Amino acid sequence: MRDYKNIDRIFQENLKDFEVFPPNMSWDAIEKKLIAKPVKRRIPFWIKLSSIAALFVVLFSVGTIYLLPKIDFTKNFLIENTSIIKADKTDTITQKKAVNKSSNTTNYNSLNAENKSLVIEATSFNNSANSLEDEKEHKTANNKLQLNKFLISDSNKNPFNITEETKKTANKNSKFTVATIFAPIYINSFGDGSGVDSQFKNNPTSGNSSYSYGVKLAYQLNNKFTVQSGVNLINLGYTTNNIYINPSASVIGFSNLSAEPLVSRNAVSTSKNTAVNASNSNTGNLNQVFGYVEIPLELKYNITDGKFGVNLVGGFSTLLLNKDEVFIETSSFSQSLGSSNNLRSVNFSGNIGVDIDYLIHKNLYINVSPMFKMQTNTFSKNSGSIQPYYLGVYTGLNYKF
Amino acid sequence: MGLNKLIKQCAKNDQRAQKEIYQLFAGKLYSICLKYSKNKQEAQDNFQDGFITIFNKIGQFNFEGSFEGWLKRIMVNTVLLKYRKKPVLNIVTEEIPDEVIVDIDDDEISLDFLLNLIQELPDRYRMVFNLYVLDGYSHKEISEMMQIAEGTSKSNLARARAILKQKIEIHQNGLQSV
Repeated sequence: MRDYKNIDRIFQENLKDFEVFPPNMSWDAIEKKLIAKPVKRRIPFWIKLSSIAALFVVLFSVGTIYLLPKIDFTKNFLIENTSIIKADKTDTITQKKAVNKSSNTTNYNSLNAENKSLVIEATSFNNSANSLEDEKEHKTANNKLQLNKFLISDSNKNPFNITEETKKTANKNSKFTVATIFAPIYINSFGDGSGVDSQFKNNPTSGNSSYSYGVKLAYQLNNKFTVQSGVNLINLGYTTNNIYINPSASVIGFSNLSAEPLVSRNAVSTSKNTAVNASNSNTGNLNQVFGYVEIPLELKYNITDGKFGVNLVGGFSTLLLNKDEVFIETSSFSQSLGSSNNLRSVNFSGNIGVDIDYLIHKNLYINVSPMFKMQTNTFSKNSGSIQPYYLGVYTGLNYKF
Repeated sequence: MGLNKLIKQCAKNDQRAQKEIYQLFAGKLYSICLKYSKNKQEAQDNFQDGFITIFNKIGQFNFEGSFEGWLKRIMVNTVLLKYRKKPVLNIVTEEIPDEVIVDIDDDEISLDFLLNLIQELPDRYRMVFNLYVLDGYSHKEISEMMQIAEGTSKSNLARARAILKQKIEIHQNGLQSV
């Protein structure tokens, strides 16, 4: 039948139920390609994240548990100490007797003079005592000078040597990143005790705010994992509060101080009022200041890509002691007591934290990384169950080669 | 097995489920390929590529709306991607008629003949004619899908209609003269 029709309708009507099956070989071809290119198995995000977290916990545990020698806090080194103190005691006592017979022994609240340490108050108007005092001061001044020299040479040596090395290695591979680091540090501790002497076990202790700085080198293993290391200098301060100080000439021996008993600088000025001051003890603090060269080894896992990168960080640090001094502080004076002998020269910390970086230009990143670092075998003896940790917000400028 | 369960199994790369989905929709999807492609051989190639894309992306289907519609869109897009890049001489006709009427004898027109006419159209005319006339897309949608101007889509359609009319008339006249 001939008819005039809209051309669209001709096609629409005829092709409405158009259905043709493909040749059988089509499925074979599709099946072959599907087997050759299996769909990548999708691992749920939470499983990825929790397994990474578990990995970091393992690293953290390795840092805090297995890398440190067993610390036996009960083991006391008193035999050694008391003998030294005894020797000192006899010396000072004889001096004291010869010079002035008005000597007092003050009983400290938390102190047992018989067992652990000794504080002998030696009041003296005598010239010989003064000369002794001068000699001691001279010694400590020398010690300080040596310490300073060491610090200067140390701070000069380490970071710069490393940057040179890193530059050399970085040039070989484009996956390297170098960064400068600065971080305000807040230190505190778990457990009871004082780093100065176990007699202050029950005294309140507090950490001082401090800082850390250094350089970091990172190597990207793949697009998710990065290994990072570096060298930081870190200064830590630790305060034992509520120490009673008799502001007269005192010979102090603490079990964990290697300095010989010191005659307080105040000896002369306050000694005239001995009778009054002996009963009005001042409250003061013991400040233990120590510094380390920190060599961290950390693994970083990238959670997000793009301009803002969020990473999880876990690992451990080796800490090499490079500064150690104890000060006694009251409202009226501050006095160095020498260095501690219970700080281990090498100890470790377990590190865990987050790292957020932001791309500012081509190869240049800034990063902010809040980290929690728990120190392990900081003190070798006589410190109670003290376990220092520190929190730092590490900021840095990163350059990727 | 329900369709939704089949889809989920496919997302897990279950080969048996994949074959079932294939058998359910192969006819409809292959027909699309025949209409949109230049010939049978290209239709088969496009069909295979489209189905592989479907199985790779089946995990992204969100179970809202028709699954068949989703499959058809992927198939059409697969073909469009292939022909979109090929340049076509763009003839802008001054007058674009809304309707093209052709003198036709229904009994003499076969489905194969019409399909052949479509396949013989230049690539872009064929795309636009299929999208607009057979699958009901608007010129605006076509311009977005094919990344061309709306005016181009309209003129392509007009050219397609003109070619088809001419070919049908030749066919009819040929039959008459026999």
